Amino acid sequence: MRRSIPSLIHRYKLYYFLIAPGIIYYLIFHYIPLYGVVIAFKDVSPFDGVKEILTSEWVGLKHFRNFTNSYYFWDIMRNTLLISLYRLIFGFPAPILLAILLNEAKNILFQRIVQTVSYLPHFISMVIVAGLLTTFLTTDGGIVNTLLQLMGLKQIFFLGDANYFRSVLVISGIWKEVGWGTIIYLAAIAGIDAHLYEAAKLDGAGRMRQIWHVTLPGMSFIITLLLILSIGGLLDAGFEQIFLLYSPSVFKVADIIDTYVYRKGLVDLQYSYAAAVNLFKSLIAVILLLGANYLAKKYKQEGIW
Amino acid sequence: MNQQRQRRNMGETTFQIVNYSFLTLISLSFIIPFLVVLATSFVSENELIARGNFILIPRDLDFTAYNLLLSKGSLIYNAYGITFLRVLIGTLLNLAFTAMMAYGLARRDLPGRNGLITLVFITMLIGGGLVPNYLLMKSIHLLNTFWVMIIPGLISSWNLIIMRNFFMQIPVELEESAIIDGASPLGVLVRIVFPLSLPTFATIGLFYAVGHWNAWFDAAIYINNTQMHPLQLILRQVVLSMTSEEINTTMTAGMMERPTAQSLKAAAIIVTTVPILFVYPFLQKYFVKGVLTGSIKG
Amino acid sequence: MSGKRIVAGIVSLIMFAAVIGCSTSEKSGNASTAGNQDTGQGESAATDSKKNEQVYIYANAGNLALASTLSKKEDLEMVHKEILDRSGFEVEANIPPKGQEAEKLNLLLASNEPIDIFVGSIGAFRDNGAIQPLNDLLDKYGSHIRELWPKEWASAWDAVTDKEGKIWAIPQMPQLAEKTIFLRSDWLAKLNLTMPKTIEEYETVLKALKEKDPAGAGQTIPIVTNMTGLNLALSAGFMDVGYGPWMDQDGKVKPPEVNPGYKDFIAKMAEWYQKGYIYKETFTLNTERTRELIKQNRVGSAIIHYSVVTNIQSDLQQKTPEALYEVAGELKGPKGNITTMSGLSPYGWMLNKKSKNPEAAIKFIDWIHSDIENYLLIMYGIKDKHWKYTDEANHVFERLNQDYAGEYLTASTFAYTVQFAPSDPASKPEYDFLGKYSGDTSRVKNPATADVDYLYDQQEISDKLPHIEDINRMIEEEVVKFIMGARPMSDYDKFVQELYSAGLDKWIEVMTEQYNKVKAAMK
Repeated sequence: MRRSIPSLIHRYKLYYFLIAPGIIYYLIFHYIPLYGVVIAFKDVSPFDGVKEILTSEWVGLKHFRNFTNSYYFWDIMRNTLLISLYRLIFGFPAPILLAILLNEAKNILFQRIVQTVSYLPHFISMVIVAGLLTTFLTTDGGIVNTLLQLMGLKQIFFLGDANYFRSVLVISGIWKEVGWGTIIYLAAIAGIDAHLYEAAKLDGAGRMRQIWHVTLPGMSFIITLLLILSIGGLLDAGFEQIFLLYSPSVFKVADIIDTYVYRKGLVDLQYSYAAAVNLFKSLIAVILLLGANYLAKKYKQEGIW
Repeated sequence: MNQQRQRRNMGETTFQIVNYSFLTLISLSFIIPFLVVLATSFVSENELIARGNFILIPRDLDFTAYNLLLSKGSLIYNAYGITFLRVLIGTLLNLAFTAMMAYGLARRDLPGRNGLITLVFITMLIGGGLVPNYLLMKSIHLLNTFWVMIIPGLISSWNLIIMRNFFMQIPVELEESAIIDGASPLGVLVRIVFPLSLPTFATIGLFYAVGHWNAWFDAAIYINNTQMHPLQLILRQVVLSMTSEEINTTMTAGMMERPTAQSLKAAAIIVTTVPILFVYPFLQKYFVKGVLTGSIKG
Repeated sequence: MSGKRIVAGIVSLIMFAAVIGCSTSEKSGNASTAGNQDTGQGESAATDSKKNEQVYIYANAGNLALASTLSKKEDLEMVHKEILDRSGFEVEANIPPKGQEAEKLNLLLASNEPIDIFVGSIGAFRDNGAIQPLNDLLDKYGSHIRELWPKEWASAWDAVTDKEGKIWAIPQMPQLAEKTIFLRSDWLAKLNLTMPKTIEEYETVLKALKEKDPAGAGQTIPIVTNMTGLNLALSAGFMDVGYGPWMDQDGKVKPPEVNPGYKDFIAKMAEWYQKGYIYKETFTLNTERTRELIKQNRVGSAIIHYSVVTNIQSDLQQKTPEALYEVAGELKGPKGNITTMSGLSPYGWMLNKKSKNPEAAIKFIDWIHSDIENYLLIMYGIKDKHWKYTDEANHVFERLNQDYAGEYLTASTFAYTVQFAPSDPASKPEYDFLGKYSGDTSRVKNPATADVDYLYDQQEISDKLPHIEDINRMIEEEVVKFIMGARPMSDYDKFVQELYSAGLDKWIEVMTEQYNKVKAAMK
């Protein structure tokens, strides 16, 4: 049954009406303040108002150049990317796996309890987690080192050892967020048609096959989307956690873009420099996102665009 | 045939045992630190010094930390009230606006769709900074009002894109049949999509709600009036005052009874987390599987 | 159907919230843009002369950061009225959010909110035209301010004055030697030792602490410290000058890390670390955890900012009554005094350039500095209601309650701090230290460039040395490595070479240029 063109447009018109309030919101609250971006290309002080921001001199790419010419530039880029990649490789699959396992535990009460318990770390503030970690890992009577000693091994100063620091970061980061991360995957699993499972069983599929052929494909759309978004966030390696746990002994492996800029900001009060670095990060994020989205499309998945 | 079934049953049981054991073990890893935090909130200074930091069961219950946090009189009641209001109203508005926009953008054949998505997602990557935002709030008279905690954060691009992709999973036939029956897009959204996407709405709603519950920065910057400060902000201020690294010479005179920094921080976490833990079980039923079952056939 | 109900529900909730939102903001905020909690404005303005001069302060003196709660409404109003009665000024206090004080101040300045007085480092504010010079105003209305400040601390005025003689702030603190070495004197007694006077004696003490283990069960920690503490409380004993940039024989200004004496100092610290005298994880400690260790009765000596120890000594004494930390006042290094006096810091109370009533602001500060009772009023509240004297002659007082938290404190000044004391015995160690040691110039060394570096052009330095953070990081990172033994001392010269490749030559050039410029201008 064909709809005439006017009624097609009419149909779209109502969709535009649906979208309109949101667009207005974005224009007002996100795009109007966007003029602040120019401070990355000027020398602006923290107490400059609109007039000063718009009328002060342009300095071009000065701040960007200062950033990329810094002695430690490659160090911090490397650290940022490596830590993010570790988090991606180990931390991204973790909630997916957990969601699937939770789904396979047939006892509803057990499921719900484990689920709720798994969110608890998400709500414990990073400050406390850092404190707990320090107590846990200290060579001064901490549990882990006491165990090591009992087993006849040498003590390890985890938080001060460049060889272990990143592992501590990644593992504790996963512990903290894996439970919360399952929520969205469980929502996806809930949307899978139960008939698909029955059909698979009739075809003789065991549990593993069912997971592979029904559960995972049912989650694939959200896995892809979150993967793309995570790749876009590759330059955010987790400032708060690193800041609370690092010390000069591990700068070499733990100093990331954000911690470096933070320390510089303490000395300098350089608003513009921080803005420039953020813009730089955004640019790279866009490139990464476009790349990831393109790859997703190639595998016939739906991404952001 | 029997042997195969036997083998499968054994494999099945093994899997169940392993799965349940594994889940139980990691649950312990999640709950034990939390219990430590809970215990720490009740621990007195003496005990903390004597027994070190990792305490699971306190010997004596010491309520100093909770006293300090909760005895602010009207300030804390206001804070709870404001926070509840914020969560309730904020989340409803968030869901309404986000769902409308997400559904509109879920329409694959919508002209200009990609451009609009780009508009949205760019805001995830760059912002104008604190000063332009503050000046904007000032000029539209949102400063120092309740709404400044809700309107500027009305739609989160992250949640929007996720919600949209969830909506894109709904079979088009369902929408088509409703449209043929004369429904407007809004009608389809409310009558068809919403009931089928309860898990989505529950999830995104939960994200927004927790965001509101935990928020403090916007209120700190935009609201001067302490009667309108949300819970997290008030608690944060109390904790900060007790854990200040700099104890300036002229200022410490006459400090009253104070709990240890740790029990205070722990108590703050308990006070903010426990309400959420009570709410969540009610949402869990919306994650029930198979809502989509039979809808195509029916 | 259900859709309509949902929409109706949303609409009614919104209306409900709008009512709540509007009424709450009306109830308290009034129309005042400064957003203070005071609603008594209307009444007091009506009673007195119509033109009450208003002074807007940004309450970032630091006292509120320690108050767990703000004032009760009635008490705040009482103090507000009392200040008005006594001084003739209506003070409006803008309360900063804890933890975000600096950001909020910047926002208020950028959006032209009425603010007259606030405290901070003058550098950025002056360079960006946010504040105004005070010379004329001080001459006309600031006589008490000038009088209050002791002559011995005259250098504090230099710190806030620029090369052209313009005064940009009212000083808050003089130079203080805040980092020091504390030792458990009760343990020394137990071990039959006395307060060390030389580094060798200190080493004997450390060895005894480690071997004899007064805390028991191997829990004794001979030294707890951090890099700043080591630098400012001890390193000067190994150099000819205090810790800071120094003048090399070639006439160039160089960082302390390339001073040969500093290298000896680090070598010594590495030795101590290796012998287990220094707490293994000391460079990852924060103040909170350091205090924990002290309270656990484990720390033999602390080379650290004084308040970390003084402010919890009474807590420690509750469990261990005989515990006592004393300053190693006589300790000297191979090159003499070990403590570095902090340089002049351009920090103080400033006047907003856009202030609507600068005369009123200065007059108000002058009023505060004219009588200690005025100061105690704005800081602690009304006498005999919020606090009372236990020893009036010596200005020893006791706080009765915390109903007034100190929102109107402005122009806080160390000049007053040394004139009064709280009767609370827990504060005694702190006030003792401040009185006896912090200002004592005979036992400190000054950094070599202390007489000029506060006059450097920070903006220029920032422009010419965009990579100064690289040098800072390298120093932080490598020095800790040397001490912890992760890098052998034989590598130290290589480290200096690395500093050069990170831009040290540029640093030297710029700093020397600044130094010479200021020296020339001073002639």
